Amino acid sequence: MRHKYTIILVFFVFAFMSESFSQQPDSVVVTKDFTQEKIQQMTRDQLLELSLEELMVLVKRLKLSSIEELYQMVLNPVVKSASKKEELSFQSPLSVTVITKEEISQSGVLNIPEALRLSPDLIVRQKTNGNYDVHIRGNDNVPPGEYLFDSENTISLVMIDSRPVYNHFQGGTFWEALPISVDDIKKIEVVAGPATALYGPNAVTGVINIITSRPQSEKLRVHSDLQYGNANTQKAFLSLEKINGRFSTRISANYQHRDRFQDDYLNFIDYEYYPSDSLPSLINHAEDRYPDPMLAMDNQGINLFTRYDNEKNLILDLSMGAQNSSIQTIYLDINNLSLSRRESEMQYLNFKGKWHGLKATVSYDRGVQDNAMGFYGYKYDIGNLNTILEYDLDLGIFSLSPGISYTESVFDDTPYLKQTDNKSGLFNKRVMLSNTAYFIRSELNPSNKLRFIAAVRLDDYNLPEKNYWTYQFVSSYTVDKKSHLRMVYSRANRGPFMYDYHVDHRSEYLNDDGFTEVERFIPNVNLKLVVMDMLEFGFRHRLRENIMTDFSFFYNKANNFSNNSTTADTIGQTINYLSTIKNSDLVSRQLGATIRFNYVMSKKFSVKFFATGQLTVLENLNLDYALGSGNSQSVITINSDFLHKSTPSMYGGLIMNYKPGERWNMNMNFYRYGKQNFFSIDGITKIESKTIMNIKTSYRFYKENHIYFNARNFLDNDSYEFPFADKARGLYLIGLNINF
Amino acid sequence: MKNVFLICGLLILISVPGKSFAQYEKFKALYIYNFTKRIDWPEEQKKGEFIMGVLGKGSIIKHLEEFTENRKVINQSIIVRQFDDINDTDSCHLLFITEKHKDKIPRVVNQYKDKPVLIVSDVPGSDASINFRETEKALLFEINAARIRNKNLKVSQSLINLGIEINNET
Repeated sequence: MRHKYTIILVFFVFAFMSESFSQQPDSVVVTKDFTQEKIQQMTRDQLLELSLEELMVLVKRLKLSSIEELYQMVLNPVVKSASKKEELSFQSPLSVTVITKEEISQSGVLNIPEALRLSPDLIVRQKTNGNYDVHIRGNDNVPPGEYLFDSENTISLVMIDSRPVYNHFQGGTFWEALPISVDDIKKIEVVAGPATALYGPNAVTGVINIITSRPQSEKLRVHSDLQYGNANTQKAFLSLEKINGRFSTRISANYQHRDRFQDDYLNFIDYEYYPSDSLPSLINHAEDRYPDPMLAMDNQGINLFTRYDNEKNLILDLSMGAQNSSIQTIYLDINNLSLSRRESEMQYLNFKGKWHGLKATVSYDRGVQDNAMGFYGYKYDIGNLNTILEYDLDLGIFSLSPGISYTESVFDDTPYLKQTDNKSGLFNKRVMLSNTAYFIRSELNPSNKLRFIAAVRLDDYNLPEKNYWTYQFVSSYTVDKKSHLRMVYSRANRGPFMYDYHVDHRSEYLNDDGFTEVERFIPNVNLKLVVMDMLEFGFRHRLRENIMTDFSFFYNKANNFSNNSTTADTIGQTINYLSTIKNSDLVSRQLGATIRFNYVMSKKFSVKFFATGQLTVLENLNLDYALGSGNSQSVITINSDFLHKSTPSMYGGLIMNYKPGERWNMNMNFYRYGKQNFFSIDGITKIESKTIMNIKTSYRFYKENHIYFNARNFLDNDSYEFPFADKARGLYLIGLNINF
Repeated sequence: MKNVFLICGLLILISVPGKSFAQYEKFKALYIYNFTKRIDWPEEQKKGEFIMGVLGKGSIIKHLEEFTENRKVINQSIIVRQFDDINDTDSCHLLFITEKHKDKIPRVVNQYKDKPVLIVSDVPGSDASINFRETEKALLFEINAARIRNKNLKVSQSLINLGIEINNET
């Protein structure tokens, strides 16, 4: 696999080099549209062509634009995900955050989920070194008292360049299986709150849209980043990019390896940690399931991004890539031990076309995933198709965007099963979920200040048979240049997943008492999808030219949660267990508020602060447990309301960036969450509050080349961030960033 | 191990220098190259190579070399030379004096008082023929046209108009 990537990379290097030699300098006319970035990218010949008069204007523009652009970049960046069209975030009608390329680079984050700690509304907890649990605003561990597997966030939508990247097995995002690195990213846009009406199922608590970089220069540009640190952490990135007239091309490759901070495993039998060399005495097939006990992650990916833009009315954008990854994390509870190893090998293709107001998207990804290596039945082939056709009709103060989409996901586990007729696998056949959706978004702007948006969407799934309506109604009012008000009411639903609608499994074994136990798991095709309704009020205020504040107050209600239901029936010497997933009467109600404060003190110093406080109450909770030992507690709760403490009541961050000169940059950022009670089938596990301090100090030694020191969890606060997980320790790295 | 990392981190943090890197050196080099297009040297100076001297060190030398490579002042190839001693500078057509060598400006000006050597300095208000003056919003230059003419150099009116004219000596 690595050799294949190397050959492809070498081919493109030569292709780029040959093109670059044939380039001729273009003449330049300095205008006030010249941005700092554009000026810095001017070639020697372009600069020499300028007259002294033009040079003086250019320097003025550079000096002026540097502070203006800094304000713009930090306080009021352009955002697209809130309205599906570009707008300044100050005027965005939803609660939205932009994490820019510069912030990602300055902060030193090593991967995408860690980058999300730079945004409000996000709860990010590390399971093993580099592998994270990510939730937007909460509703995590709902319903409580279930398996760890059910705590995965299946109600947030993650996209790369508008391509959904959630896994269709049970929902959620396999972050390590994303083909791109943080170095590929132009920006991450986070929209908090239900947005199914805009983006389709799973955008229940919000949307994370990762937007990748496109070339900016007609000159061949090479970017590379190398980092090495403790826990055998190795990160490497290389990209080449170039604009050739109306075509632009970028190719990138990334690699990241990390070891765990410990080599022992938690055993659910007694809730004790056991060293890896004792595994053969604890579990069967230990070497197949845990061939490398120290491995936390080993990920690599390669991507190609191409674009044609005729600079009038046609844009064609095609990206493709491949990845493979191996991680050890908490995912499936099929094991005595808390960790399992997950492997993915995926390829993708994503096409986006825009002609006048017509927009088309076609993406396809395929590959193979093994959710629990060494465990029979968890490996399967995947094929996911996603198509969207929409049209933007602009009628002055009124605009209309109707569209249609079709998605299809196919799983096939038969190539990896010894036998399919005994239903020993999970699916035992090729299974499919599909969805045809019709949607329309309308916007009315009766004045420059007032804005009304209504979006409605109908999803027609093959399973469940019931259709789902979702909607979003927004009004916003720009009071003046400094103040903006918004109000949102929206409804969203989760999508159907293979685990709920297609698992058809049977297993049989002889117990110690001589009884034959038959476990049967059947799908529930009538399972209702989780639905959330939300009401939100927001207020943005630019206190001064260099200070932006944002307040949002939200209330949401979610229902149609589901949990495992098992019945037992003994006939003679056989005990039959019949399991399926059923909806519960559980209702989750959440009330919360988020505050953001962004301050650009000068070109040298900027601060971002954000915090969210929330309260979640679960109604009609129907649990009946007397479980737990070790670090867990016994819990008996029957049909009652319950103050849900799995979501921290407070969480947020502080980011400070100091640039004393042109050569040095220092970034210090903090992420903090309050204490939590994680409630699983193993009882309640307490997670203490934690503050994580990160530091990156970089020195530009020549042109755009940097060396740096990067510390993640600088103070080595080693407390657990996730139940039954590894300790989260400090990571200290030396890095080299080469650009030419 | 933990303490070693902590100490390394703190050492890196406290070792950060406070002085800003001069980010407009590239543009100063471009300005200087453009000055040569609007000043005419005497005929006897139009032979051989055109010597651009820099008294002192700094990134401007690298930028001057980059921008003057394969470029000419009329028919003369441009050579950039770095000097530490003013006694070595007499071959120059143009001499740029860095801010670190501002103490030497009066001596240099006196040495080349009537000679066709254009003295450019990085020190606003100095006695050089042209001084760069960097403000919050622009990179300007002061120009003493009379002093340039006294050196038997012809200066274009457009250059005088672009600069801030000073007349502290005629």
